[in-house]
Order: sequence, then structure tokens, then C-alpha cells
Amino acid sequence: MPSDSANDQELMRGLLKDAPGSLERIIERWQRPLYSFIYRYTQNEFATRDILQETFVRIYTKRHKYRFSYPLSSWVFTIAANLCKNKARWHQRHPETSIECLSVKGERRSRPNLLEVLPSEDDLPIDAIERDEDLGTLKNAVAGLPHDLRTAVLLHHYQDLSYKEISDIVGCSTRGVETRLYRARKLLRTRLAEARSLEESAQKKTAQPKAETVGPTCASIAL
Amino acid sequence: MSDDDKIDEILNRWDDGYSVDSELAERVRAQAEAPSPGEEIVVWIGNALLRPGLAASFAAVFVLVGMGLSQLITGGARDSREELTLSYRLSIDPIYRLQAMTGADQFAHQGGVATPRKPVEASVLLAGLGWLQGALDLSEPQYRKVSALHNYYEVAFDELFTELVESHREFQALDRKRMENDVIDYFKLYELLQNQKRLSERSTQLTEELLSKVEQVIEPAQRARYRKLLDNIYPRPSHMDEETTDA
Repeated sequence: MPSDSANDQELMRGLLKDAPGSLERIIERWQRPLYSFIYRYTQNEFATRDILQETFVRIYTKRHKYRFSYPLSSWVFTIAANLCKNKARWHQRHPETSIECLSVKGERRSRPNLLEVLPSEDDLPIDAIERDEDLGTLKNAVAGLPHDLRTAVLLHHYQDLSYKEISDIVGCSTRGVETRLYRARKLLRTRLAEARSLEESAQKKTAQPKAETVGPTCASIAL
Repeated sequence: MSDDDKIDEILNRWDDGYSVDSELAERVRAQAEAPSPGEEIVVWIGNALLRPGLAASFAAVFVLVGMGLSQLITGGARDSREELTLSYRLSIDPIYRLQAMTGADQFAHQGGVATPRKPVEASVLLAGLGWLQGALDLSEPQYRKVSALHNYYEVAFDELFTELVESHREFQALDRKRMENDVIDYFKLYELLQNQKRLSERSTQLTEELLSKVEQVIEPAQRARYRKLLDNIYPRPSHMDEETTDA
């Protein structure tokens, strides 16, 4: 998202003066990017709505603490990232099982079922499934990243923030952002490669018994 | 396609399913302007107390719960708070340090638990400053300035404390002599008392200097809290004078 710092500063000045509609304008401007970040961080819509609201409540109640020398993007994403981190910590201490993650038999599953796979018109069904599996693996890999790596990679890819802005949010130097992005991508690549090799070995295992069962039948036909 | 491109391609396919929440502003405003849970409880109790029967029940419950909690909570909280205020006062007041030391000596002489005397180290000052930082919500630059001031005065306080200890020992020796020989060296006693008076005045002056310098590097709101804390832990005549201007 292109930053518009002059407009942002103007919006914050309005909010500080309690100008009518100023909060609505801030929300209108930042709702989309914040939702996008929080959703991909938490990967849960309810948690996202909750954190999004809390982020704006903090922006509103702590508006007097905003320093105009910093870009507004850094401030709002810092609030959101901290709330995401707190939420993640809370979930670690209070683990729960989501209904969405349970199959019909009540077993956990790591991949979406076939009904959830929506192929585009151009794809063959098998292509769509493979693509979706990649996306599922990547989502899991992102969810498994440490807080600062996850924050850096999501802000860099989806919000188009500068290294300086990301460094303010993550709390490191711009060089540190580069390192974090490199480490995050390396971890994502590793997870994707691991998932693919697991998939391939599973396919081989399922293919071998079939060949064994098909073999004798063919032989008996030949006889 | 490189691995990075592949990751970018997959990330680009990740839809967030965003839809505008038109009521978000309304909810945010309502939550931001809503009273805190503490305030709500106070209002609820206020309404409940309007009914006499309920009020009597509340009073009984509060008394019982209060008695129990006071035993559990105040003990621990007071102990830790007092320990910190003690650390801070020890670091800014050589007279108090001497009193604490001689008190401990007397306790040891009385045949109680003989605790080894610990030298007053920097850890005492650090503990006191750490407590002060939390109590006044000092920013990092303020904390650095306040620490520098305390460190600067610490040398003078230590020298003064050494003199106070020496004077105290001389006084004890004089007292022992009096007990043993039943003779009082009035000249020596006068000298010692004069010296102790001078040291005491010097100690008060140094402490006052330090406290006023600390007050100069903190914000007015912090200053008011600092004075309140000092009045609690270390009643100073100057502060008491300021607060009793109606006299």
C-alpha cells in the first residue's frame, strides 16, 4: 500500500482535535491494510475482527501519544503487531481446538478437504488441488514463523512498507529487517520443500501396493 | 521460476477475504468511550447499596473478605514496598544508614540471630533507583540523569557515612569508659556531640540538595508523585512546610 504521510498526518491532527468524522476517516483509510496484515498473521477471521477493533480503540485512546516525526503506518502496524503477538501468546497458554480444523470424524487435519478446493476455470482439478496444497503449506509455514519474521515478511510482501517503516515496527535496524526477511524466506522455502518431499514419498507408498495388487490380476487375465 | 518467485506467487494467491465493516467506527467509539470494568463495578455497587438489605449483606461480605485478604495481600505487598523504600532511603540518607546499622548491631549484641553485616553496596542504590524508575514512570533519559545524580552524591554520602561511623564508635568507647570507670569526660563528650551535630546537618543538606536536583530533571506530574513518595518514606521539613501553607 503506498504511504501517504501528508494525508496521514492531517488525519491524525483531525483526530487530536476531535474533529467530526476524523475517527471514521482514519478507519476508512487503515481498515483494509490492517485487516490484511492481522488476518494473515492470525489466520482466523474472528480474532482478526477482534484485534482490528482493539487496534483502532488504541489509536483513538492513545492518539495524544502519537509522535508526528514517525510515519503513521509504523505506529498503527506496531499497535496491531503487538496485539497479534499478545493474542498468539494468550493462545499458547490457552490452547483450544477450532471447529474449522476438525474433520467429520473429529481428527485434526492439516490440509483442506476437496470440497474446499475451488478450481478456477482455466485449471484442471488436479492443478488446482496442488496449487491449493502449496498455499496451505505456506500458510502453515507463515503461522509457524517467529513473531518478528512473520511480521516482517507480511508487511514487506502485502503492505509494501519500506525497510525503515518495518524496522520501526519490528524494533530493529534496517539491516535487521533484511536479515529477518532472508531468514523468513529461507524457512518458508524449507517448509515448502519438506512438504513436497513428504507428498512425493506418500504418493510412492500408495502407488506400490496398487502395483502389487494389479500385478497378479493382470497375470491371471493373461493366463 | 526461482524459489523466491514461487513463494511470491503463492503469497499473491493468499486471499484475505476482506469485507468492509461499516459498523467498526461505531463499535470503536463505543468501546473507547465506555467506562472501564472498574468503573462499572463501582456504579453497580453504588446502585446495589441503595437497597438496605443488600447493603447490609455487602457490608458483611466486604468485612469478611477484607479481613482475609488483608492478611494475605498486605503482608507481602507491604514487605516488598517497604524493602524498596528502605533501599532508596539507605542510599540517600547517611544518618538513616547509620541508624539501620547500629540498630542491627544492637540486635546482634542482644543475643538474637547474629546476621553478618553486609556492606552498603551499589546494589542497594540500584534497587532503590529501580524502584524509583517504576514508581515515577521515568523515561530512559530521565532515568540516566537521575542515576547520574545519585551516583555523583553517592561518593559524598559514603564519605559522610564513614565519618558518622567513626563518630559513633568514639561515642560508644566514651560510653564504655563511663560504665567501667564511672567517669565522664565532658570535654570529649561536648566535642563528639558537636561533631555529630555538624555531620547530621551536613547529611540533611546533602540529601536536600540531591532531592531538589532530582526534582529539576523530572516532569511536574512526576515531581508531585516524587514528593508524595518522599513524604511517605522520608518526611522532609521543607515538603511539609509547602503542604501546610495555611499555617
